[in-house]
Amino acid sequence: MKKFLLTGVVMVLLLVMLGGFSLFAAEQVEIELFYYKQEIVDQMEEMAQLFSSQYPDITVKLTLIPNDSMVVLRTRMAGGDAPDIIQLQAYSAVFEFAEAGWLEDITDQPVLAQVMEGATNSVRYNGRIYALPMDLAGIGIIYNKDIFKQYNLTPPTTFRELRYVCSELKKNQVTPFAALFRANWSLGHFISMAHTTLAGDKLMPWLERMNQGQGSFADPVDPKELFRLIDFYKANASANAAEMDWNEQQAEFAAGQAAMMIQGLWSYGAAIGTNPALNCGFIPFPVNDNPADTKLFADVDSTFAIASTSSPAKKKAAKLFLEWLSTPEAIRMWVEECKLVPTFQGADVSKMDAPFQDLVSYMNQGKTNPWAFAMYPVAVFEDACKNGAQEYLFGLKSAEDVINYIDQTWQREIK
Amino acid sequence: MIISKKNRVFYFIIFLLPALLLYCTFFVFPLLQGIRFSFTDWNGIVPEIPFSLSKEQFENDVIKQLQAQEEVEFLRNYYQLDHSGQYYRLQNWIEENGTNRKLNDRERKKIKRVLKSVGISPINYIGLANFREMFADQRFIPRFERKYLFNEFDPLPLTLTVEEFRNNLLNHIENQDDQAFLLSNYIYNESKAAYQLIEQELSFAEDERLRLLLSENLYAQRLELGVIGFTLFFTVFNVFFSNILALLLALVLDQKMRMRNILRSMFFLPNVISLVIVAYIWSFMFRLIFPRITGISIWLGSPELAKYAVLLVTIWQGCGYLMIIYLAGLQTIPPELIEAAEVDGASWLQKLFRIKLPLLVPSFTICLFYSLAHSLKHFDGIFALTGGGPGYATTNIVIDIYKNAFLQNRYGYATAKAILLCLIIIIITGTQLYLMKKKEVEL
Repeated sequence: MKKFLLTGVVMVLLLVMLGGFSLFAAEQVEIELFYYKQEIVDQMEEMAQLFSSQYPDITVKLTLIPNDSMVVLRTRMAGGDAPDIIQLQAYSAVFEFAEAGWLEDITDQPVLAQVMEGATNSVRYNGRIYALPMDLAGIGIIYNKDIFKQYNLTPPTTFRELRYVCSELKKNQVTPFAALFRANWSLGHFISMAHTTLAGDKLMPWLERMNQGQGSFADPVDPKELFRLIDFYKANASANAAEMDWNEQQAEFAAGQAAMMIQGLWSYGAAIGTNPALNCGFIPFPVNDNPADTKLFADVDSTFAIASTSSPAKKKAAKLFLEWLSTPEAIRMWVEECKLVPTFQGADVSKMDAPFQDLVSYMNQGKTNPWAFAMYPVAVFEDACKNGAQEYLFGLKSAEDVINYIDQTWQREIK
Repeated sequence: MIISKKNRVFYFIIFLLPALLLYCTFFVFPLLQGIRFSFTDWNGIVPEIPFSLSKEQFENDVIKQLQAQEEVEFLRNYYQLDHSGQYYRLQNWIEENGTNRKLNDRERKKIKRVLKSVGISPINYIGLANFREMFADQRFIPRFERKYLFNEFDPLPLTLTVEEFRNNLLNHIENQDDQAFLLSNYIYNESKAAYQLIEQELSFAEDERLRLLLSENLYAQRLELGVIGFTLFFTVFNVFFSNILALLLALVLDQKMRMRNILRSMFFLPNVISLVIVAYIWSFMFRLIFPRITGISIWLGSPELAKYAVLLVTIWQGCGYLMIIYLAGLQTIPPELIEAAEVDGASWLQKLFRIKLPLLVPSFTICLFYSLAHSLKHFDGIFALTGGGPGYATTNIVIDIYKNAFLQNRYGYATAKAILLCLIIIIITGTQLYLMKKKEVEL
């Protein structure tokens, strides 16, 4: 009996060692790609395979963490185990990891030369570039063209027109906005969008002052004007919007019960998936009666960064992957299959759906505002803006309370 | 059986020692680590040794400050100027004899020590500041706040009762003009004992002014529980109701009846399902079914009702487990005691209060302990149902810790809260166990 046991143990050990050696023997590099965009799971697999077929000694292992990706990422980094390629939201997520030293400086990579002008602002920290901007996204009004046509409405370009559109829709028993108030993130986007659009040119100087510890959230705008937009949004959403989450919002919009929704363009995919016959357009949310101020809240959404802690071989492979992403076939997959608007110059987007075309046309005309919320300190957006906007909407806080809360959080964060 | 001394040592080594070691690695060590972090301002992502240092900082603050040449050379091995020429970056991989290897722990510790000697450490000790801040945090402690009742874009309220009108609106307006304007538009109606909106059409400017006046000044007082308040609210009600319900269920299902076993499993079933799935099922219920039964359409999205909604789900889910404990307790009561009481002519109530409940005290001890500890650190159910919202309405201390640590990058502060929670749980459950143990009767 004992003999058998012993031989068994030896055999197992031998097998394990053999396995170990055979892994070391081949000069395969496996890089881990960590991403959060759950709408492109199959597409990412396909891209990884295509890449590996061209670079046979590199395999890409995909890790998808859809919600709470930052939580997982932070815990992994706290454990010292960073993925080789990391998909990060532009601006503050990139900045915070770059500041902590987790990201490789890729300023000298040739692939960056192909990126659209201006897109690299979202990944530049202290003058160095730490990630490759990948896709552009916008937050605004996605509207149902058929409903607008039915009631003879034109897409609004001023707040007055928007009020008119809403009252007409209400008269015809159509909910103007499909909204979600149960979760706070969408309202966070809304308050930042309204604030940025109202601030216009004053945005960047204001941000600078805030980060020096002077100034207040109310400085570049008239707080009354800002907060009445939240009131307006609430008054024109369906009665049970407070009970609705993202899925329900998409369902309401896709079913044609509501004519518009204030959302990021990423939601369009879900709506069109539910109802392929949907005929949509994408416009900026007008905040005042000056059409020139009505600009689309659009910016770089996701980026790919390389971990500075990876081994040199993996870093090299990761850089090859980023380089490969700018090749025509990768861009084609990115556009046609992932349905994301690429940041590379001269990418052909003519095959994308109408709302994406709208986004690109606003981009090309330069009628966009940057995503200011991504430049706020993390806690300011995650806590003060999102919860503040939600609490204001539910009547739990006054406008001054919300502004004070944002200011206090900002002060604390820059300390 | 008498265990020999040799045997005792043997059992200690086989069973207790590994357990003790595991206990130390997985509990004692993290706890001490946690206590350490609670005194720091760590943000959760800064590594223990800096990955990059700016050129000036490295040359002026590190190299020039170091006394020993050996240490300077040691550091220069690991920090090298990158190609931009602005930063010294930590070489995480060392090339040695033609292969790359990762920095080992010994090297890391030494780098950390050397850098610390010149005052560079990414994690700073800030003493009790985290604990002090907690109690100054406006989110943490219960307080009175306002509840605004009117949205500028909604239709104007047609009538307001005298009390509402005076307390919630008129007394909040200081400006004499505004008061007069308001009183000219809302007229007191004696027959209804209420203020009524005048019937004639308002001009656009007047309408706008009245709306603004109402949206800013029509508010009532409300109690904001705060994170601590909500945690206690949740704990008290959850412990009370889930135990009462579980006890009643156990008493009923202890009777001889048909389908007893099926019913027992049915009541226990919610406990088997993951709370996240339970939450999704219930959020459908709250959205689609509850409005029809109760006539109230908003549950999870209402700042007032959301806390009762999450309480309801937690009680529904948790009471099956407690019921099993009570059932087990009831079944250990010797039947001859009950029979003897019956022979003596004891009524059902007398049997319950004189025999069953006193003998159930050990079960109470367990159930109370279990439900107290679980409600104080409840997380998954609330998180999946409301995510702590709307606003902070259902944020208990654990969700607050999660938000602080992972959404706001304040690990040090979050750890301090976690330590506080740990203390609260130890104190409350410890007191409860001590008091209950004294009450238990031996047969």
